[in-house]
Amino acid sequence: MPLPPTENSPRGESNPQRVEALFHQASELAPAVRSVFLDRECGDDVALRRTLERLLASSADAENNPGWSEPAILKVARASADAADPEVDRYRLLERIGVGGMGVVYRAVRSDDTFSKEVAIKIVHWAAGDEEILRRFRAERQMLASLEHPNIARLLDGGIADDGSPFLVMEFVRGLAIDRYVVDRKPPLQALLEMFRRICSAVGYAHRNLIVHRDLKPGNILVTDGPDGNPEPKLLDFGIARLLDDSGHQTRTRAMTLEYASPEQVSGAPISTASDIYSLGVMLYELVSGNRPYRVTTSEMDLAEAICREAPRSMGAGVDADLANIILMALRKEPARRYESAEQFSEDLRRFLDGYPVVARPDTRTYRARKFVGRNRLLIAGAALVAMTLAGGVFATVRQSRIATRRFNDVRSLANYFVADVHDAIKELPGALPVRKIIVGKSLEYLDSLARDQGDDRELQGEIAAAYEKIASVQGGMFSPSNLGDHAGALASYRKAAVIRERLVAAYPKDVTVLRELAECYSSMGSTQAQSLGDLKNGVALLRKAVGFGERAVAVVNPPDKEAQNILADSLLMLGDAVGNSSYQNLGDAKGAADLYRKALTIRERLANAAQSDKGLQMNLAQAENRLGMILNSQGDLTGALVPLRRVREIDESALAADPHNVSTLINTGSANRNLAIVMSRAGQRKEALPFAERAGEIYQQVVREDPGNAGAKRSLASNYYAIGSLMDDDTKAIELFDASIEGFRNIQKEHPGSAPEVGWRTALQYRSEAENRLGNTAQAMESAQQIKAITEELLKVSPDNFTARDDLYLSYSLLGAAYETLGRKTGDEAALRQAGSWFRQAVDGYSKLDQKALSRSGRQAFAKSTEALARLRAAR
Amino acid sequence: MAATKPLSRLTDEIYGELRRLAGAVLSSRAGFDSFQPTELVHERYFRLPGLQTIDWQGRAHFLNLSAQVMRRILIDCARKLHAAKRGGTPVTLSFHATFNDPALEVDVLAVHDAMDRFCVDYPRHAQVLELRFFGGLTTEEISEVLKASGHEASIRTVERDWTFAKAWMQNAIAPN
Repeated sequence: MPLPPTENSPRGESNPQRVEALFHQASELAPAVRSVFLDRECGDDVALRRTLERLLASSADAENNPGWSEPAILKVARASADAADPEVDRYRLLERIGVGGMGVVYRAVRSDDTFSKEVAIKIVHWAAGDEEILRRFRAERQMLASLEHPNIARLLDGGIADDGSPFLVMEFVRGLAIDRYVVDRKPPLQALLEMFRRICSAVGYAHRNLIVHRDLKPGNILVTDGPDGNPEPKLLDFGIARLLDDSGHQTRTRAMTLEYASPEQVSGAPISTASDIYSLGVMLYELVSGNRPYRVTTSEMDLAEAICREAPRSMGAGVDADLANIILMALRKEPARRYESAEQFSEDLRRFLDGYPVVARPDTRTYRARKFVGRNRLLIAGAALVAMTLAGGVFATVRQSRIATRRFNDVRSLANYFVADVHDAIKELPGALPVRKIIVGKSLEYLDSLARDQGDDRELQGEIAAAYEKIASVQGGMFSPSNLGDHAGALASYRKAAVIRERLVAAYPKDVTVLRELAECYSSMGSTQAQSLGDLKNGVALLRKAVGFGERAVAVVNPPDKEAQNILADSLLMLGDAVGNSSYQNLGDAKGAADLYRKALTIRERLANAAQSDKGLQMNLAQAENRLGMILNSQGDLTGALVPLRRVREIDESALAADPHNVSTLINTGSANRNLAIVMSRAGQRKEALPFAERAGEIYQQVVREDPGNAGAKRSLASNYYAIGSLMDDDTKAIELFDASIEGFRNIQKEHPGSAPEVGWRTALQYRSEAENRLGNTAQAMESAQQIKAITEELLKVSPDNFTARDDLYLSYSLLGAAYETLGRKTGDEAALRQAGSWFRQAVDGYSKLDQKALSRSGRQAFAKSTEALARLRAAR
Repeated sequence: MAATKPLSRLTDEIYGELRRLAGAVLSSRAGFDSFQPTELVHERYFRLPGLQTIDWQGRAHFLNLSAQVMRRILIDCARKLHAAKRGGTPVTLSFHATFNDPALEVDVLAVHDAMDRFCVDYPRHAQVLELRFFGGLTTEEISEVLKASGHEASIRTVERDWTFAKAWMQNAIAPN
């Protein structure tokens, strides 16, 4: 008899430990003796007695309540499923026929359809609002819809429901899951294997279209009785696992069913067509022998372990040795040692059925623990083979096919699947570099051959150019964090894309899409050339082209195309960066940069005002405001700079509040806080600035935690360390932060050896040198200055026009001068003072040849300091 | 130092992934009644790539975190569902397909609300409840988690804690 929990609840007066101890003791007693026990133990402590009685009564209730034996997630999931709508888009849902990790499946009919043909609808509620998934969803749906095979259930339609959930409409198959079918009907082995070969044919067909199922299991293969009385299998959900699974996150295994998963799926290694072969093998093992290849355990951990490390169990004496060998070949741990294709698997089964010798041999290798999972070398070898097989597949397909639409798919597959997925899948593996290079090389080779005889199909040309751009970003794109660092290669690929796109513009001079895409191509190319290679002159020329085509794209239609405006604004910003933003490699024309930024800002303001609720546009506006703030700051207009910078911070913080785990929002908000802090401190508000700097540090740390591969966040975190350090009054403490910053930048450089060193690295070194010098640690001060000198000299070799590098080179002279002066004064060493004089003179000479208005703030200060110091030293002499 | 870095990296990765997954499962109306409890929850934990390779210390830490995250997500979701049913009879988040007696329900929100009070006197028991009820962990896993945070926690202790926690909670959330 439960009592109200409010007053005299079990906690309270009595000692909790005692309550618990008595509770357990009493629980073990028969109810009849309990009251005697309680009488004795509680004495006249009435409260204790009541508490215990209530707990014991509740315990009986709880033990009889099955509600406690299921985790809360099930209760919530059920309640949430119960709120489902009976209609989705134009379809009326008739009954729920399945629930899986990827969504809910309903039998449904089109509500506006008089024929009321039944369909199956899969609704992926959890994907609602996930932009990345939705984007992929739209892009891939088309490709899946083109799968036409008698043994594959067709994808008929798809869309986004009112609540934002994507859904797929598929052919409705009324059949039994294959395992049930085999148990119920017990088909003879011959019929079973014939049916299985039809499954192989379907799987092979999909593989040739570069679609991997990833979740083959009995529940996804329904069998009906065909017109000839033979079992007719239909595969469901082809490619859907991937469609719904890849959202840019690491998981490649979420949707799978462990029992049928391959070792590579279980261990998180790259998935390929060989993974489907493996799953087919597990199924055939089960259909033929009635058992699963690994001992059934209750623990998923154990099963995962067995899949990766144990040899399959013997199939038993009733199974023919040849057939067993065929199945075991499909079940090999290493993807590369299985059947190369579903057709080969099927072919071997045919040989078995016809009584010919089969290809499969008993596997003589022993599987040692960790052999598969433990060694990356094997993974890499596997990945290399996957890469080569796929490349071969693409080539073969192209040879066979003459139709443009077919090529269209091939190119898209190549770009999206082969380059992006395979490359992404292996990029994290140590030692994968050669394989990645092979992938890029093969892809380029293939594209080049296509581009040569591409004819004049506009769509296809566009796709080829897009594929070149994608490869370029993998090779060395400015915005691709895990690129190969081959910036020259990237430029070559961009150039190929640009040539195609120029030709398209010539053919369709009034087409906004064509113009826009050319502008975009030039801006990626220009920023790579200017920022990644440090070749500012050519980079700026390309960015000017980007702006030119962007302006044309905006002008050709009225009202102007939104996307075109956005790209124009982007190009203006990047041009501004290279022209005169001291945070980037630049030519030193700060005023020019400010003008370009203002133009971009006007465009973005217009776009953002037209759609107030569009978060993306707000963020774009913030980005432009931010650049303007940066440039005003570098021109010394601190009050002017604080206005846009405060606005940026407000926009970003409110975006972050709405979406607190969004990595790019986190990064933006971090930078906004940091920049505001820097400028405030320069404007003399150091104390007020510190909270913003600390907030920035907090945010960046969160980003690095949530997304450890994020190079941008690492860079920002590194910059932030020196920013906070510079706000500190205690040099010793500040130096710790500068060191952390320098270390961060050094690691970034190590990860991207071909890239120009970060500008922030030099700033951190400068701050460190100055702080060490103030503490009298002249050797350390000199060391940091020498590092700046070395970095900038290297940069100037690439591009003598690099204004920032030159500015910083002279800064290093001035820092060296200061350190020698301190040393000289401390020790009275004349030679050191002469050295100091010589460095200061070189700094002054250098600075006086530069455009004074373009000097960065630190450059101006260093110039002034050096001039002053030189006069001082001369006077002393 | 070198040894802890990849581990923490891995944990963070998995943590982020888990939060996304669980949130996704419950984000609106995905139904899961055909799932077995272990299948559902364990699937989500153990199929996260790389989990097999972390040591126990790290795993325990991760499982503990997972349960907390799960709890937060479930409570958010449950609140939303309550709010969505404004006006009508309040939704109960606790019915089980196989039994109809409302007295035998465990209301997720009520458990959550009572947790703070429970935690005051019985922090370890509250943790066991959180790990089991919200995190869906097994007794063995809970024992590992507790050991990693320095508790004496044999299987038997965990079982006793769970019995006590259920009794306490059942009493606290029982309808008047």
